[in-house]
Amino acid sequence: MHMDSRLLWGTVEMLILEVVAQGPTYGYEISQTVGERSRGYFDLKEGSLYPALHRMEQQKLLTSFWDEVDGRRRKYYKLSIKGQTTLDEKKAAWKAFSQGVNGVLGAQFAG
Amino acid sequence: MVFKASRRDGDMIPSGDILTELPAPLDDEPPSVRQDIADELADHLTCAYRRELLKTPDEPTAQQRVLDRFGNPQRIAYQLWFQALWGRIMLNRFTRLVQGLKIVGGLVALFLIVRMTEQQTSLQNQIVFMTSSYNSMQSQAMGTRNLLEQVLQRLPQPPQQAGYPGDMGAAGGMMGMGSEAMAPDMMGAGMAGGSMAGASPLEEQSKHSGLTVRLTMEGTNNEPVPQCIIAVVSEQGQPLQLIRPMPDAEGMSMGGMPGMMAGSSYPTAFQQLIRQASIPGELLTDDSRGIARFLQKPPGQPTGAVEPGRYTIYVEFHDGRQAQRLIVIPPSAKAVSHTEHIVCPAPSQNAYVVIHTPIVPQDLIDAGLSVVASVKRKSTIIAGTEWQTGNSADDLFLDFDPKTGAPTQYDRNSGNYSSFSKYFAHGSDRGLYKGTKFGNLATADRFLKLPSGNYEVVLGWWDRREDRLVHRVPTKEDEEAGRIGILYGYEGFTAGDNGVLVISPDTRDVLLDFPEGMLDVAQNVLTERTSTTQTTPADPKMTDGNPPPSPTSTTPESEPAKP
Repeated sequence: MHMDSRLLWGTVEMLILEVVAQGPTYGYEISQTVGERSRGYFDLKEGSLYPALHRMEQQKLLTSFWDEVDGRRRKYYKLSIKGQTTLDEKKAAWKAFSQGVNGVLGAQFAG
Repeated sequence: MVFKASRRDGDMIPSGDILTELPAPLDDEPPSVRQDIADELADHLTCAYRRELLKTPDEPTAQQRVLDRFGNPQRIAYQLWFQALWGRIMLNRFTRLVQGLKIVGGLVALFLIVRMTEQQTSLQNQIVFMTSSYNSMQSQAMGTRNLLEQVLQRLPQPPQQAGYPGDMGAAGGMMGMGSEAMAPDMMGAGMAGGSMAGASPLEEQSKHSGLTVRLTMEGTNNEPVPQCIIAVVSEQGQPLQLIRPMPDAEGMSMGGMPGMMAGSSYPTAFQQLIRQASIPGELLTDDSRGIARFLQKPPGQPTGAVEPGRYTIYVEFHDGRQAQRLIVIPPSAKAVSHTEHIVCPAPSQNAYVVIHTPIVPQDLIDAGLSVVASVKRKSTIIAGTEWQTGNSADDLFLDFDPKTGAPTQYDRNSGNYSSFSKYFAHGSDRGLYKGTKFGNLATADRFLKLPSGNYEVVLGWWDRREDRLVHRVPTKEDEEAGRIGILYGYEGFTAGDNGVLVISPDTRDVLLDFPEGMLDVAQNVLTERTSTTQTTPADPKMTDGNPPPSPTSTTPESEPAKP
């Protein structure tokens, strides 16, 4: 099924925060995790993930550190306290939103 | 897109290739920004590439699949770089914008200041012109009314029963008589010529496009200088015509009066003004604003705008100081008023000064030598105009009693001791001599009334036996030291500090020492006279054989002239 990008960009920040909340991770792993968990639904350009990561870092939602892997420098991202708070708020809002949407769609299908 | 640049084993792309689209580093860009971006993206691409190689052994295919999913790495790198430095970039742009606005604002402000200055100057000139025109018309109307009243008073009153309309008849009679009584050569004099020739003074002023001279006092807030003698003469010697009427002591206007009042009795003050006006081009400033305005008056032609050319303004201040200024009215200035501003010196306060010289050694007295001096007021330069002196006690020639050093001069005819001064009024034959008679006054009373200022005092020896000045042959050192002054047309010795004698209002006694070399010259005379006895008539070092004019035939107070 084709992805509606308007729906994706409204939730991509929440998806990144959720992945990073599992533990320190890096850009390629985040993109792979999102792809796997969505079973390939979120088919977005991987490169477009980085502007979102950098923006969230500037907003103090994420913190970062560098490590060396196989002779290469790798940037890891961690969830900050502010990021955790934001994630909780977004998840609550999404839950309420999805319940509302499912309620409407469920009633329609039930009818 | 296939990257062919060298890379580490297993890497998909060299990190440096990712940064190829980034602009030149900013001045304040942190050095790690670019490398961090490149390393992060290169790590992603390498991970994806290695994973893709597990799916397909073909490297170009794997590489292409990675790029298809990732997008353009250079563009992403540029986006991240701009995102990281956005604040700095915006600050730089804002700073440049502010600097540009400052420059533009400064230029605009400078332009406005220049424009405002030009407009202010133009406005001031217009105000001065309009004010003087208004006052001119006002004073002329007053003068005309007074004139009519005086003429009406002098006319025989018509009998009432004749039935003439009184005022109109009197006015008509006055005009007719004035025209008939006017001599032809007086038609052109003053404003009367213009009036009788058909153009009234008011009309002339309304079309004035001439020269305005404004006189103000030095050291004041442009305080006007009234009643200066002023003349403007072209380089061909043709004087300009003063167009402002001059109220005299009787309140009458000078404009039109010479012709109208010919043959009648004038007030003394007014006659004096007429006499001065008869000197070509020489007139007085008219009013309390110190403004004189001129138009061209070619011979036999009506007045008109001042033609472009070079003119000389002559001004004589009321204390006798004179100045002249060369002005140029360019062709472009025709039909517009040209204004000249002359700053006059402040009035001098008089000092009453007794000038003393040292007592002459007895052997020189016996040889018939005494000290003479000239005292000249030095010129001063005010606002670029040199003011010279030309009257009163400014040019003095003094004799001194060799035994007392007191100012004196023996007059054989009167038997008095005196000194005299002289002055010449510029441009005329009114040179006058004035004497200051000391008589037998005490030394303290032989003072001179001098306007305060700087003077040049030149001393010399007067040989009473030869009745001539003993002048010195100046040496090179004398010339270099500025010790040479002119006395009776010959070289003399300058006295005072650097040749300048400062007279203040409080100066009472001035004691002059013999300047350097003066006694040596006298001793030379003595030596020459002793060695040559009666055989040599004149010393070539002393004179040129033609004795300079003596102010009077002199003999010192202590040694009366022999019959």
